[in-house]
Amino acid sequence: MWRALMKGAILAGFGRFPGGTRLYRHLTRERMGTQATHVDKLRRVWPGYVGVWEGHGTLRMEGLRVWVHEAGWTPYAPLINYLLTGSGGILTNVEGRLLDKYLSRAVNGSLGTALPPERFPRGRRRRVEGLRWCMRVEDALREIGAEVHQDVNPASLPLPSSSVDLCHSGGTLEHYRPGRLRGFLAECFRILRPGGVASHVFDHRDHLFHADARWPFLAHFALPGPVYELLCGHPLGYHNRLLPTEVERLFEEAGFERIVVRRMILPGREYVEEKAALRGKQGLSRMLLAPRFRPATDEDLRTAAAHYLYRKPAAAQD
Amino acid sequence: MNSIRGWARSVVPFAVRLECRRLARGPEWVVETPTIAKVRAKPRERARYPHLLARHRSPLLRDPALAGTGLQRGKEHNVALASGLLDGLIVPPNRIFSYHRTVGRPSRFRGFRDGLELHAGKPSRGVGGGCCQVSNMLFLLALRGGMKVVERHRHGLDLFPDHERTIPFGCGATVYYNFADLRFENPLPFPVMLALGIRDGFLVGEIRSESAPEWTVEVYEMDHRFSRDGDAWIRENRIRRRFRGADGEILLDQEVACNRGRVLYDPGEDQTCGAPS
Repeated sequence: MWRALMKGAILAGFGRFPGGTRLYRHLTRERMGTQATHVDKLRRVWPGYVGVWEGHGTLRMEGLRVWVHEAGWTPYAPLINYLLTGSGGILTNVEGRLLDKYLSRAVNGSLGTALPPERFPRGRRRRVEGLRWCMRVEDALREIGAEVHQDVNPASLPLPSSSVDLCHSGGTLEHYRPGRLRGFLAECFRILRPGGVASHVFDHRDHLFHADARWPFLAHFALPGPVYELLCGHPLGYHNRLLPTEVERLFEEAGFERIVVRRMILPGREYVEEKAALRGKQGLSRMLLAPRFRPATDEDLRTAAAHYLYRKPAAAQD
Repeated sequence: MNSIRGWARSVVPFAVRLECRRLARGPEWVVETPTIAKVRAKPRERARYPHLLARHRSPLLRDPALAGTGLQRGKEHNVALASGLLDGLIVPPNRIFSYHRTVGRPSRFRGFRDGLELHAGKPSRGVGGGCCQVSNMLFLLALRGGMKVVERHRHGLDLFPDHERTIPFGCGATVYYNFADLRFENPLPFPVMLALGIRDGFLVGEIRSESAPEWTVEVYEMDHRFSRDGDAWIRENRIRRRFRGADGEILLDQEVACNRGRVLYDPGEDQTCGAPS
């Protein structure tokens, strides 16, 4: 419990201090190398994403134009895109900066991703192996034909309309304020080709839970809006606290058609669909919920994270 | 700004300025601790690193005229001490090796002696002098062993002619506690171990690994030349390395160092030749 509170206090200390967000990210990402574990996490979850894109999304990875939004500080996403599709694809970063120090870890992570060996053609594998010695991440990305846009505004992205087949983000959009999220989903709809797939993973948990697993994973639902804003409304702590059903509504408002919403339940960390979420552990007692969250469904209160898979209708106009 | 710096140089003693500069790196050392390799292999664990990635040896005595002199004896002692501190260090995947964080401060208290060192482009005497032979060796091992050099400072002088040199000019790295460091990252998916020691008057270094590499490295030089800068001879070159896969296909060809150093001998016939890799 104390670890979660300590983390919250440290984040608030940096997040409320002018320039503190930048300093915090510099210290943790650039100096302490904390994003190294992010590569390990991506390496673990990416095979599952590929399974969902190919299974539910009926996509074939080879030759696909993939856009990853806010891939963070490591070039794992373009490298795995290259291995799977033959092109590094597109990467847009709002907060993240690709750092040279994570390049070789990303190379090792992408090559070690648990996918059948035949998924990575030999020529591509060899090319990626050579990139682990590149000194600059830009040089490596140029080699694999990746297109990177940093410092972008998520509501106005520098990508042409109907130009990508798959848009993916993970653990990013829950930090966007609802207006910004609407703007991003509208851009996502514009940029996807008709029939293209939007794949976004939201971590609905209170992020202090990541510092201490004894913390209720939906503890942030206990706080009324103004109190939450006061405590966590800074760039390092903000979570939009949208319920899964509210997120689904935003996708539909943007014009997307639902393919599937897979909810991650605890304690088993398994992804399930629809009513099966009721098997999961509840994130917070209903009695403790702030008034805004009282209409939440039982499934919503048992959803730790959710993978939203939506399609741009084949007949859609941009 | 330059005038303030010049004024500070004239007023603040060198030793105080040096300590200030050393202190400035302290906070960085604290925050980067999780990324630095620091575990040494126990004697029984060394057998877990059977594959040789790189090996090199260099003589402790270069100039027979120096044999038995105080500076030479001090240098040999310092090299033995530093190599003992480095021997058996395990560099896990994606961790950074730092010369200074492993060897520490070369002080008399820690057993280092006076040895020959280059200071401000001139040969001089200093505690821990001669340890550059260890850092030179580590830089070359890092290049040949497929490590990624993230910090390296070149020597400003070329001390010896090429007739006994087996590696290209400029394959060395100078170190000065704690701000001129030699650092490399292990970019491989398996850990590597440093093995250094003194054998038969030679410093012998190896980088060993758990798994056999599926590539080979070739270190070579380009654009080697001597030129005149006033009365002084200047020597320049660029060091590159080429990685080849098991089938001979080139995986990567990259520049790893660009050297420029003042020559302390008469280049004579060496003017047109570069040393072999």
